[in-house]
Amino acid sequence: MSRVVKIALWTYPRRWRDRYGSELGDLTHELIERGEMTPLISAASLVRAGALERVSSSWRHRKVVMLSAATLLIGVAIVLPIAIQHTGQVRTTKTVLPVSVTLEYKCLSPSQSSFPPTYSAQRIRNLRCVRVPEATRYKGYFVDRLASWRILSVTDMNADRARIMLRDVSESQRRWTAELPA
Amino acid sequence: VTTDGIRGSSDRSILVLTSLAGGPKHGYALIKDIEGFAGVTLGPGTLYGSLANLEEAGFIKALPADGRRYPYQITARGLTYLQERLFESARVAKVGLARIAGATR
Repeated sequence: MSRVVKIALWTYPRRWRDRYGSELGDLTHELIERGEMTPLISAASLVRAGALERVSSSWRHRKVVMLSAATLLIGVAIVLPIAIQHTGQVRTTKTVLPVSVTLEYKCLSPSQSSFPPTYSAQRIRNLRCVRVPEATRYKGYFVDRLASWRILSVTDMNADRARIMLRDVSESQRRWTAELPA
Repeated sequence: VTTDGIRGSSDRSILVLTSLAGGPKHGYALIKDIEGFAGVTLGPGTLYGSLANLEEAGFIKALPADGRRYPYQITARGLTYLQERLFESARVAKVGLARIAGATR
C-alpha cells in the first residue's frame, strides 16, 4: 500500500478504518498496480469518501443519541402521569381498601339491644382501622385517613354477628359489606 | 444503517447488490462487473462506503479473505430488499415511459 493511500485512509473514522481500512487499501493498491488509477487520484478519492463517511457516521451517532433521548422523554411522559395518578390513588383510596377494621359501635335501639355495647372485629382483607365516633351516628359518615365511608345499614344477625354495609362516598361510591364476628 | 439509510445512497447500493446477486465478488471484481452492466465506474472509496452500509444493514456478508482479496456475498435479506427495489423501479419506469410516449404523440 503506497504511503499516500495510507495517509488518505486516516480521513476515515477509526472504527471504520479498523474494519475496512486494509481491504480498501489493498483494493486501491490493486487499481494503481493495474494502471486504472494514479496514486494521487486514488488518494483524493479516498480523502473525499473518508470525509463523507466521517460526516455520515457522526450524523448517525447524533441520530442515535437524539432517538434515545426522544424515546426516554416519551417514556417519562407516559409513565409520569400514571405514577402521579397511582400515588394519588394511595392517598385517596381509590383502589386500596383498608387493611383491617375494628368497628366500635353501640346500639341504642331496642331491636339491637342484643348487641354488645362495644363491637370489635378484625377483617382479613385490606382494611384499616376505622372507628365510628358515636353510636348515635351509625347512619352518618365516618372518615378514616383513607376515605370517607358511610354506613348504609347495620343488620344484626344474632348476638355475635352483624352485617354492616358501607359505601365509599369519597370516590367511587363503592359498596362494601362486612360480616363481623364478635 | 437502516433501510432508509440505504435508500439515501440507493443507486450505488443497488448496483452493488445487483452485482452480488450474480454471486460473491471481491472489490475489484465488483468494480469491473458494475462497469460492465451499468457503465458506471465506482471509486474504491465509494465502493467500500456502500459495502460498509450494506454489511451493517445485513444485506451482504463478508466471506473469508482470499489472499489480499475480500469477497462479499449477498444475504437472503439483501435479495429481498433488492427485489423490492427493482420492482419499485420497474413500476416507476413503466409509468414514466408510458407518459413519455403519451407526451411525444
